[in-house]
Amino acid sequence: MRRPVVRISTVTMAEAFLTAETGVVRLEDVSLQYGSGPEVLRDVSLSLETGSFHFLTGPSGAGKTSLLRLLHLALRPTRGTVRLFDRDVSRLGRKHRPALRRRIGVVSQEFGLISHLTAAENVALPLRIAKANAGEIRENVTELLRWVGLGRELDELPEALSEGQKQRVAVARAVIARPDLLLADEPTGNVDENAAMRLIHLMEELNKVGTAVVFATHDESLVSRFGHPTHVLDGGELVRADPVEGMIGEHAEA
Amino acid sequence: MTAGSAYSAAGVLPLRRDAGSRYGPWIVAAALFVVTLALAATMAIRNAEQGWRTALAGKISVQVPAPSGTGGEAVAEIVALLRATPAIADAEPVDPVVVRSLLEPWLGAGAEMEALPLPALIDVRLRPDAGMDIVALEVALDAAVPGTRIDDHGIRLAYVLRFALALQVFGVVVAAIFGLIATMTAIFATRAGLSSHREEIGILQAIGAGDGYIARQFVAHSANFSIKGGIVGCALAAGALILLGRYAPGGNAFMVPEMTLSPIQWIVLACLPPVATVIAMATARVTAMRALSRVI
Ligand SMILES: Nc1ncnc2c1ncn2[C@@H]1O[C@H](COP(=O)(O)OP(=O)(O)OP(=O)(O)O)[C@@H](O)[C@H]1O
Ligand SMILES: [Mg+2]
Repeated sequence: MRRPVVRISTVTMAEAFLTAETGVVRLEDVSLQYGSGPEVLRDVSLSLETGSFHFLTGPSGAGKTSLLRLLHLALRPTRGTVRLFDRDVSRLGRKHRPALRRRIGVVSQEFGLISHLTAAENVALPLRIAKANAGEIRENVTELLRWVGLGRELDELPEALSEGQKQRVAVARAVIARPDLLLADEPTGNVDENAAMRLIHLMEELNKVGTAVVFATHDESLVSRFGHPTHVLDGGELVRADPVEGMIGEHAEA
Repeated sequence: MTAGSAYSAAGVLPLRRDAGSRYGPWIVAAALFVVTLALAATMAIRNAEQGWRTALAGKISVQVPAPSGTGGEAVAEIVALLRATPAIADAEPVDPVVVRSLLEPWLGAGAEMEALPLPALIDVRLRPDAGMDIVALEVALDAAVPGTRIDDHGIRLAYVLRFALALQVFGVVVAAIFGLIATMTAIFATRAGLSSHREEIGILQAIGAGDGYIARQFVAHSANFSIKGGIVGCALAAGALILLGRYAPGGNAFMVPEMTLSPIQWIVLACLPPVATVIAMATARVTAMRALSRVI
């Protein structure tokens, strides 16, 4: 498979080297409550290295989405420390958030495509936000969409796309700016098994280019077909982590 | 591939498709129509003020009571007295025929004016900046010929100027109110857009768009409808002014000096659409940035 030429990145070589040493994500005894509700995450410690691929599983309501939202800076931990790219972001002010988010790609179950923009325009958004020039954007977007098999759907609106196609558009948008971290929350929820497998293979390709991937799904059978480290959440606690290389954490031996 | 809009900085949020957006340009157009007219009127009055000043300032007229049987002696005495006053540049009796013709409209043509004890009029021009004491002069004239009165145009001018000032203040206030309406259009459009596109904004924020990027969408949108509305409103107002100019009384009819605008004033009016647009853009930005900073 041909790799997309994506040159837009806010990461310098020095930074990449730094993150390679220290890890992309480090959670230390993180707990989370929504308002004054119960703790939906409890003492979660987790460390993800640059360029690693992790599954996050657990039953419905276990806290997978909440954990990803913490990593995406949409929530702040009630206790503990969240470090992203070797920076403590537990109490990050909102004005510092966009710059960090530009280093993180997200794919949600709902895909979050903007309905009046075409597939290509949706995928172009991160580059537009990063103020890339129009020619460069067009080239990268076209190439990436062809790479995910949507070369003929560039100008289609999301409503004209199948679930699987929308999902690929969402993934393309999440990775177009070459993020250091890709967060995928149940992206396979709405598509058949075949499409799900293809999606994971696609993410593995990106992972090889250096993007750390966290893939959350409640589908353990899907997870078992890949040899990636898997973290299992239950009731807000990290109960099990399959000890595979690329993962460090207190729960590794559990 | 849609080369143009797909990757350019064109609207990421579909603000132009918002229901309210259709009325935006028209509200701005109506508001700027009024602003332009109000300011044009204000400037015209300001120009006219100068005319009134030169027409009325420095002039008084003196009424000498009907010289029944005394011939022109009393008038001649008063004229001599006036001419001897240092602050007075010139004093000239008005021809009695002119006085009668001035009164004709009130008394009716052919009235037996010969028989009426009409006062004699003397036109007096004061030296500019001479600091004339009108009251003292009147006392002196009254002593010479009892019943002689001074009609001070300066007092009338003061009233006229006061009214002109009131009109100008009124014009500026009206312009300000309608300018505010145009500005509020930008606030409403931005607020409405922020709430109706909450979902898209959330998506943009999730992929790393800062407040500035999102605010720029609203700034561009406000610029778009303000420049359109501004040009339409201003053009209509200019048309109205030109049309109105055709019906304006020329010359000195009714002492209304010509209400015309100077080229510079026309340029000022022509600057209203861009100025309104800049204000609308700034307003949209402040509104959007404040609203966005309130969400966590
Ligand atoms: N916005 C919220 N406010 C309050 N409680 C919430 C909120 N979102 C999630 N929760 C609660 O947090 C817990 C974890 O939810 P979360 O969505 O993280 O689970 P999940 O593992 O993603 O589940 P699923 O597999 O169904 O997506 C649940 O008990 C849920 O009710
Ligand atoms: Mg979830």
